[in-house]
Amino acid sequence: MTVDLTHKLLSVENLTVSAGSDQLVHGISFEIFRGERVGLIGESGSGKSLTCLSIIGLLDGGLSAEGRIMFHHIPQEPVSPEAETHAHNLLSADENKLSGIRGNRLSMVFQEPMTALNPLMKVGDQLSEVIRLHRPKTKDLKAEVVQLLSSVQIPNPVHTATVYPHQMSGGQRQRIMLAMAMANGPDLLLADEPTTALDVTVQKRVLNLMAEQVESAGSSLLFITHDLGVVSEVCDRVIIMRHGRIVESGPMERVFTAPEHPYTRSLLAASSLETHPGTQRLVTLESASADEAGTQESFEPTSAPPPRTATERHQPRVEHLTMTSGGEAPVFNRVDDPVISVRDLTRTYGKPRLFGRNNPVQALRGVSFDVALGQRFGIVGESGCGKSTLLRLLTALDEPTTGSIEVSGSSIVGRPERQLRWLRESMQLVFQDPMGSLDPRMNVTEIIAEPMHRASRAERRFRVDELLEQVGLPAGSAEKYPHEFSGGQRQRIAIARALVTRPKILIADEAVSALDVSVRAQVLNLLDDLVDEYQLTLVFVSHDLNVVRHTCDVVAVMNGGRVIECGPADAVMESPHHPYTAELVAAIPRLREGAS
Amino acid sequence: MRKQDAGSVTAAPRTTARRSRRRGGTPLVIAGGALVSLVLVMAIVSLVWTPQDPTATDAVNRLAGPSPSNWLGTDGLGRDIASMVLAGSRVPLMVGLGTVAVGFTIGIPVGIFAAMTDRGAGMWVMRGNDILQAFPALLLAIVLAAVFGPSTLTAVIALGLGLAPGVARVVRSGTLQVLSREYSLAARAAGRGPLYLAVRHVLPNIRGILIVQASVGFAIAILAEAALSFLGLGTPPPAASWGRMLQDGQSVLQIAPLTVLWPGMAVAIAVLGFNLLGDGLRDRFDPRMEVTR
Repeated sequence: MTVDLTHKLLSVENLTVSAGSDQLVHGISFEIFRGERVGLIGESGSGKSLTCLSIIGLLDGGLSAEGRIMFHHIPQEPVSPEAETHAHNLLSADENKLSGIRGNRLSMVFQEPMTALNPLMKVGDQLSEVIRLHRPKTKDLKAEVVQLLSSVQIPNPVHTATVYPHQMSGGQRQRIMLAMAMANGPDLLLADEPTTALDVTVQKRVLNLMAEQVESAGSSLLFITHDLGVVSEVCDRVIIMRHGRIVESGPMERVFTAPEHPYTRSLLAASSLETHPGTQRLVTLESASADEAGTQESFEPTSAPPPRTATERHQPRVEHLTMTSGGEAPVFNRVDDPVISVRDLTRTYGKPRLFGRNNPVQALRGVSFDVALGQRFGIVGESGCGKSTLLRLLTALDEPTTGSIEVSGSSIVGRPERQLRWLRESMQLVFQDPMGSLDPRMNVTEIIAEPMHRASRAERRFRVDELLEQVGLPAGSAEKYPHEFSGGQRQRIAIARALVTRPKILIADEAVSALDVSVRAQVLNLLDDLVDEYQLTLVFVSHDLNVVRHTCDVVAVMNGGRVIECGPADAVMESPHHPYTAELVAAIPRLREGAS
Repeated sequence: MRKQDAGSVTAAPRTTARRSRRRGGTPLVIAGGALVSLVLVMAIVSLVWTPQDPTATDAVNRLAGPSPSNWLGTDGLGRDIASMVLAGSRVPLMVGLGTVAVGFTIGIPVGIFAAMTDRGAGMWVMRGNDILQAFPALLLAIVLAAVFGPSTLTAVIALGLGLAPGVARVVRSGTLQVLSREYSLAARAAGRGPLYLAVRHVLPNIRGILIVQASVGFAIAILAEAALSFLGLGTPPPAASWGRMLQDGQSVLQIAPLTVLWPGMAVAIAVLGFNLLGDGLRDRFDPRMEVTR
């Protein structure tokens, strides 16, 4: 079905959402036509999710929405002039009316497929409940459920109907959510960050499936996300929100190729990790708007960044794993004088138990690689590939089952804690979650100075002030507590803590994955500068290939507890040898051709 | 068991709405706090002043009703009930304080140790803990009183030993949560030892749990002290005690029911106050409760 621009399906008129006296969404208006797929894009705090929740009438108790959200009926006769009378205002509709519409004409897919399904109910029962609720007369529920499951490409639908949600993978659960949402052929599907929690390869499949389903049911789609790449896979039209206002909207092609608003431009630049032509630094929100104000130059997106200079000293080849299983894995990225040297590392979780099943999990199955001094070594892989396990072993927070790890020539395996003091000083970590990695009960000074064991008070103060300046936090931050900072600022604090002992090696575990795109660019720039300034060897772990490509010289791709390919980041990304790497690269959501 | 779910590791406040809710007291906290303050004020006042001497007997004026000189009447020995109720508030508070102190001194280190060495030694510690938890504290108090003679100290030690296993269990689960946070990993990666982790990260982050445990422990201790005194195994005479007043009044219950009404009410107010306070604080400190409210 093509977009029918004569029939409005949903019109949001002057919607404001407020929490007490705080206005969070400031009078936005937009329309969705029948069969149209609209992307609502914004960073955290832009009000995109509040808009979505107002439409489906699920706003939190403390929030109130004003304005009108008109949900138009399907006109009985194609040319009905009084279409306006066939509309409900969803904001003033009572709960009875809303429940008749929800799940039937209006349905929603949530971000977190783990919590959105009832863990105590079989998948098939949950699906049939949705059908029964709105179509009580449905005869053959079981057949309908199986048909639905197979429509979302669940293998073996008859069996799947009888399992519980926890027995399925994240991607499968999100498919079930999609099947539930599409069960009654809704007129409008709301999807709030439906693929954010999924791995890229799974994300790709779920996105395709969603686009297909919406297409074949003739539904409209409102797709809410922070990820421009994802939007470009599924939507026709985009609406960009910031601070509770719509800054730009229009057909996707136009907005992505010729964005009018500076914010849209910088968002696009930050999403594609665009660099400044001269400095090679990432374009951030500030720098983009500074360009805007200063030179009045039209925004010229750069083509592919020139090759990095840091790789000149050591030019590794692309190596990849050819064997399918068994045998000895090759040593990747072998160098003469490695800082980190990992050989035949395995880690198996789960020991034979007295009771219950003995179900050992092989998290790592023979990993060998070197990291050279000053190298920026990236590790990419999807969830469960063993990268987190590898990190814990590298930092001696866990012991390998077999294999050896040497840092600067000395083994760190099987050493008691007091023999690892040198390691603790020369190797530091930055974590993914800027919320969980800072103790909420400590102030910034205490947090940053934590690794300084035997330093005096004055020394600590001095070093903390120095670092706050280096990571670009205001000097008054020292006495504050983590909750007073934004996500990006918290990540800066975490970086400051990691650098306080002037380590030789910095290990970053998904350090920018939880950040908004514009903040991500700033933090990556900062990391770039500091790695140069402190002459660090960087081990950078991420699921995001683009970020790794930008940050790292050498990248190792992991899958199923093994390194399957390793080589210069650009080479691996441009001409992957291993089929899995190729799949991974192909799955990255990209802004469409022609878009910057 | 209700004690088990009393609180969780406090997460940093995320939204402004939530922060303001945390600062303002909930009705439960206000009501509980008021009752607890009342008992505290009674105890403090009784230190410097009581209407009459709570131990002075008056054979002529026995079982008298309320009068200007004896506000709440007199008991079977002619002692002033108002003065006894006031003076009797000191012992339960001291027993509560002592019990919580003993329970925490034993329970917190055991809980943290068990969490930090979760395999092996920690596991066996917790199994031993389970056995102790199954042993009734009141029974332990009776045994101790029989062996060492009834005194406030034996009651405190027995009740504290009874409280410790519960504290240890709750502390262990809170510690496990803190240890799984990335800031604990970061501290370990920075070469910080277990003692530092326990003092700087674990204790501050489980303090919500501890406050709740303390307030629940107080309520249990007050009730248990009253029961022990009633059985003659608590604070020995002549010190005034609500539990013994109840026992003294038991024989004259038919003639002068008021003699047991007042100490009974005092016990009820104190226990209710600490329980309400504990419940209210648990709601404030437990992030899971936020969702349902």
